Amino acid sequence: MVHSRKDKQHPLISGDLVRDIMSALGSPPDLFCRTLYVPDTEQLALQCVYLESMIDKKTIDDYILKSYMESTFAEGKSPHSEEWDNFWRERSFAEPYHSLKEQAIQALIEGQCILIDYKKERICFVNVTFPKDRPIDEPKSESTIRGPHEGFTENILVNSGLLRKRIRNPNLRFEPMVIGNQSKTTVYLTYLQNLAPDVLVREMRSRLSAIQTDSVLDSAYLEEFLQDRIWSPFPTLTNTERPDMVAAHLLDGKVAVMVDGTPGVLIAPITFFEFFTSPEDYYQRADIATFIRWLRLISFFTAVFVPSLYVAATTFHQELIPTQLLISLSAQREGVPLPVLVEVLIMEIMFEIIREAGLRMPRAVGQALSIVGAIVLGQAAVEAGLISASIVIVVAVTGITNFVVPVYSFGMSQRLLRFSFLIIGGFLGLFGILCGALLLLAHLVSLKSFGVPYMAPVTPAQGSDWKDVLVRVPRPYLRPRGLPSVIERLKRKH
Amino acid sequence: MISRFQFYLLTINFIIGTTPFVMLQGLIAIGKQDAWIWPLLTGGAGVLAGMFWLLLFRHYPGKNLAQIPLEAMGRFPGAIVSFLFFVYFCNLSGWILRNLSDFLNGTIMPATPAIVFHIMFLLVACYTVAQGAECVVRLNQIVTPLLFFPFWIVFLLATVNWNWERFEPVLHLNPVVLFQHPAFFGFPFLETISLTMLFPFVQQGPGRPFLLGILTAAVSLSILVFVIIGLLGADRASQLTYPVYTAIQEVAIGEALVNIHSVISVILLVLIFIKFLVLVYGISETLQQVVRPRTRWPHFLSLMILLTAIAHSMYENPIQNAQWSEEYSIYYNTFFTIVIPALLLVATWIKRAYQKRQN
Amino acid sequence: MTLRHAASLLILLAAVPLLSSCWDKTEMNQLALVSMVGVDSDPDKGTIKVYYQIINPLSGSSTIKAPGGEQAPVYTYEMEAKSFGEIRSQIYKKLPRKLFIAHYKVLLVSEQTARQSIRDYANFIEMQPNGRSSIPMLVVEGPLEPVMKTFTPLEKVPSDSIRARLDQLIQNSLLSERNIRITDVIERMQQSRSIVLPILTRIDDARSAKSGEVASNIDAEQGSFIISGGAVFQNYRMTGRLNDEQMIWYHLLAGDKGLHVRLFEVEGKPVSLEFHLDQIKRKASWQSGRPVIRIFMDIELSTAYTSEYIPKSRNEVDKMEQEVSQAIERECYKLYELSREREWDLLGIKYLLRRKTPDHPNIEDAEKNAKVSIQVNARLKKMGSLQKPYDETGGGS
Repeated sequence: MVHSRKDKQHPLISGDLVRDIMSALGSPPDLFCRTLYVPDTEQLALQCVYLESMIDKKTIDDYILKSYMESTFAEGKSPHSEEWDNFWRERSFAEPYHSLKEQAIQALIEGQCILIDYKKERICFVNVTFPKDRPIDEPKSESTIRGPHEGFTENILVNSGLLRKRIRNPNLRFEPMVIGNQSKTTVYLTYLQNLAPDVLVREMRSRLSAIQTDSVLDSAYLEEFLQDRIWSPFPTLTNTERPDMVAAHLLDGKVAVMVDGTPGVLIAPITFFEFFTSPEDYYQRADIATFIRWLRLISFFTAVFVPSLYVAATTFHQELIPTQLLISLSAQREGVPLPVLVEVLIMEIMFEIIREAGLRMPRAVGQALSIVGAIVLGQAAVEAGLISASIVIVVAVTGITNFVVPVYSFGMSQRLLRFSFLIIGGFLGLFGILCGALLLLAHLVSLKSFGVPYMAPVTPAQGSDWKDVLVRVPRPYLRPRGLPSVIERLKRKH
Repeated sequence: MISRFQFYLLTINFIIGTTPFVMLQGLIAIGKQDAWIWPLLTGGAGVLAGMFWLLLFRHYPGKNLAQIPLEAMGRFPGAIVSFLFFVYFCNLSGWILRNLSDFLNGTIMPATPAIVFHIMFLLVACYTVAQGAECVVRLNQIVTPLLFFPFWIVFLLATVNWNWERFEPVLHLNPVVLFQHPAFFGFPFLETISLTMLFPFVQQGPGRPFLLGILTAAVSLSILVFVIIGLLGADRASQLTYPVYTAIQEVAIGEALVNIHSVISVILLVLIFIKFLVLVYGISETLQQVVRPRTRWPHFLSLMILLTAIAHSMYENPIQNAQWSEEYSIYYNTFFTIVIPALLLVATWIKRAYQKRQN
Repeated sequence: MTLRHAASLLILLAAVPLLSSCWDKTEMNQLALVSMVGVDSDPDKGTIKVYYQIINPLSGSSTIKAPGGEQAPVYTYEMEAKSFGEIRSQIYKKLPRKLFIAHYKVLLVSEQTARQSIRDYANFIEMQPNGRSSIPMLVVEGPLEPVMKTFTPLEKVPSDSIRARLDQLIQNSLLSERNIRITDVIERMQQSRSIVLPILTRIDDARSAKSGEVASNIDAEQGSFIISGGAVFQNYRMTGRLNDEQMIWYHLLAGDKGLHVRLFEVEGKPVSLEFHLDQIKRKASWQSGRPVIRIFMDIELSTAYTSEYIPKSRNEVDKMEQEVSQAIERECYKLYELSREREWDLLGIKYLLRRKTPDHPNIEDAEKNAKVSIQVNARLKKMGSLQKPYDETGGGS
């Protein structure tokens, strides 16, 4: 008997649904239920349930409830369209109760509002999510002098909007996925259909689908699953918060992974030399950009090799040092108790400690502590005869050149490398540094990022790409048509 | 896959390999001020040997040196011949390691025990070889400009001491003298058979880059000998153990940097490393073809131990080494690089003739 | 289980390098920086004495002040042994730091040792892996010890003083040339040629024991030494001396292109002219069993330092050039005669013949029989700031 079933459900829905939802969510304090009664009766007309922390209350008040009360809701069946389904979904009371309950809970968590319409006997899920995000601002770690100053925010829709703004191309694809068994985070796989090689997109898709994890709170979580080799100090994906950089890479035929809840976007594939480029290179003139690129490469070598070269030269190969310098260094070392290697290690570790402390210091204390760190630790230690003055210079130079590289994660790998070279240089001098450098080169050369050799275009040599590695050729000569040859090669593989 | 240019560079670096450290002094002692012509002649002989090997490889496209005996002679006798190549490569590698530690102990790091040098090189080489042939070749490609420029710039800086009179009288020496000392034909050109292990990887055929590489290396060696004679003079160079090292010692950049020899000798070590790398690749590839292991790391570990032992016991003192190089090395090299491939070629012809007759 | 075993083994193996002793490592302040090496011999006892002059790093002004008053800039250690090789093991009886010769600047040899033989010394220097051989070598007149224990004014480290003086002499005169290094000695001795090394002579015998005294004394020459003259070496032995005047012509004939200012006589009047060699050509040929050597020299003159007389017309210039050419030729012939008489072969005739005509016999006696002709072509090219020197007539009285 249809009528009795309806009657049985009615009380369930009117009485139990809201109660069941409350208990399933654990009676959260932000769960609200607004009830509208049929005028002049005790009959329930409409119940609106929502999580206030996630919705736009104004829309509910002004639009939904008001228009309901003014009876301007569309009568009858609404036209069926995909977009409408995202905003407004209807489920009839006739559907099984527990499935209605599940859908209701899921919709509430996603920030939708549930309208239990007793007159039409339906439950509507209305998408009134109002993300409480911070405004679009320039990312702090990737600022440029010239160029756009927009950065991604934590909302994936806003981020995709920023991308769409720059690439007004219908071939721009966003493939949504949900990763993370507990956190159920939305992840978009972004690429340009006509430019990105199929084999690359397929590889990325399969790697993303294969991820089994409980939570994805940042793109870095995904990066550790997606990278080509776990035990390597070098990242094989890059991470950026700038939409213009992502757009540039997408236009080069690369693939991006956007994660909801974090502004960092992953880009793959990436090569070693691309870590030395920053979007600023393309917003400045070609000659300046070339000079700055060289500066970055030199800084990389300085940051990694200078402490070990200093230790090797002063303990194994003193003949390299000019005579006058050797005499004054020798004099500085009179009375210093520790060997050079130990001194340099101690100073490097102190520098790292100061740096880490500086990240977390409240601003008020920051000034005083930097004075303490610099003057006291450096100057006073020298005057007390604990270390020699030249070591302070070496460590300071190394520390500063460490930050020249535009990508922060690459700077981290430099630190690790620096310590390894320091130790091996301290034990075997220049020969040790040579063996370490060869090992590093062998590692770099064997690394691949999604099928692209890491050291391209230096080896395997691709002449056309050289225009963007060591020099930045002016735009008219820079690949007027076509993609970087590494991407072309991937296309040919298919 | 390896491109032809990469293989060409590898050939050059392989041949130059340990030559600046080992052969120069003997060559200049016999050739005097005309010694710079001789690498060109021996290079020509090297090209002939290369063409002979290419003839063999033409019958087996896509195969490397270890696979040919297995195919030509069947599984068991082929395995023995491949094993002979394995022994040859092991001896060469041990010899290279010993040259390396002799050089370093004799010049810039006298107190370090030789085994440390051996193990360091072995670790890096085994890691690189474990990554595959492409890694070997790409590493060489990256490292070549870092070798080429400092080396020749330093020699350019050294030209303040240049004296053309050191070459006079020119072309005075009888070229027959070269043929009385056949050792210079054997080293380094006959050792390039090790590069044939990489033949299957070269795109579009390895023949041309191989032969071009031998020629270019011969010219480079000739230029090197020429420069050494011009800087040091034939008399002095023939009496020094490491003429290249001494020539670099005398280079001074301005008044301040007067002793850059450690940096340059360390850079030259990379050449030795490349040669060593190719040989280790040859060894591991031969092992893989003959034995076909499932896991490879035990092979590398035992290889490290074996090569360290060979390096240590190679010769007792450099005088033994000099006598060996002078008198016996040519026969040793010829046996492995000419006689055995000739045998393989004959076996191949016999097999082909037999098959044709059957058909 | 096996993984744990493997991991612990790996940790132990990784710790092993930390236990090693970094065999070649030396701290900088454990090094004795040698700046000058001197060799003397004692023929009665059959021993050699090697002097090492070590730089004292603490004597600089920018360093930590060490207690105990003023520090000497260098310290000289003296070692006596039967051979050069033995020094390596004996030196540490006196020297508290590791010998570091990579930065030494000058080699000294006493005249006594030079007259006996410097072959062992040359071999010793060349054999060191860490020491360069491109270091100038000088001969010391008299005993070596006082020179090794002398402080120099202006340049605190004596080897710096000597090197700086040599560099300036090379640039500003023909009294010294670049090829006085051990490498040149070895090369020339192996080719049976001769070489001339500079001589170091003491100026006076008063020697001060404190560097501070030397630094505050206005007389820079007191207790110091001077570079003058040359010692001729053949077959690793010193066989004679040249004075300063002869050194000039020796270097000119050797092809040194440095400049020199000398007083010439032109038409009976003294004229100080600066001259330098532009080009030298040597031709060797044989005539009836006798070698004929022809030397052509193009010399440029300059009146930049002339205060006595400057030619005013073309005739005067031609005359001056002619007379100067003849004067130079005369001096060169004088040097050749001296060289032939003492069999020094300073012109390098044998070497020339060996290069140009290697297959001819009788090269050994060539110098005695050679017919040498020297032709000098001097041309006035440059003038100084004075067009006409001031004279006593007052100019238009």
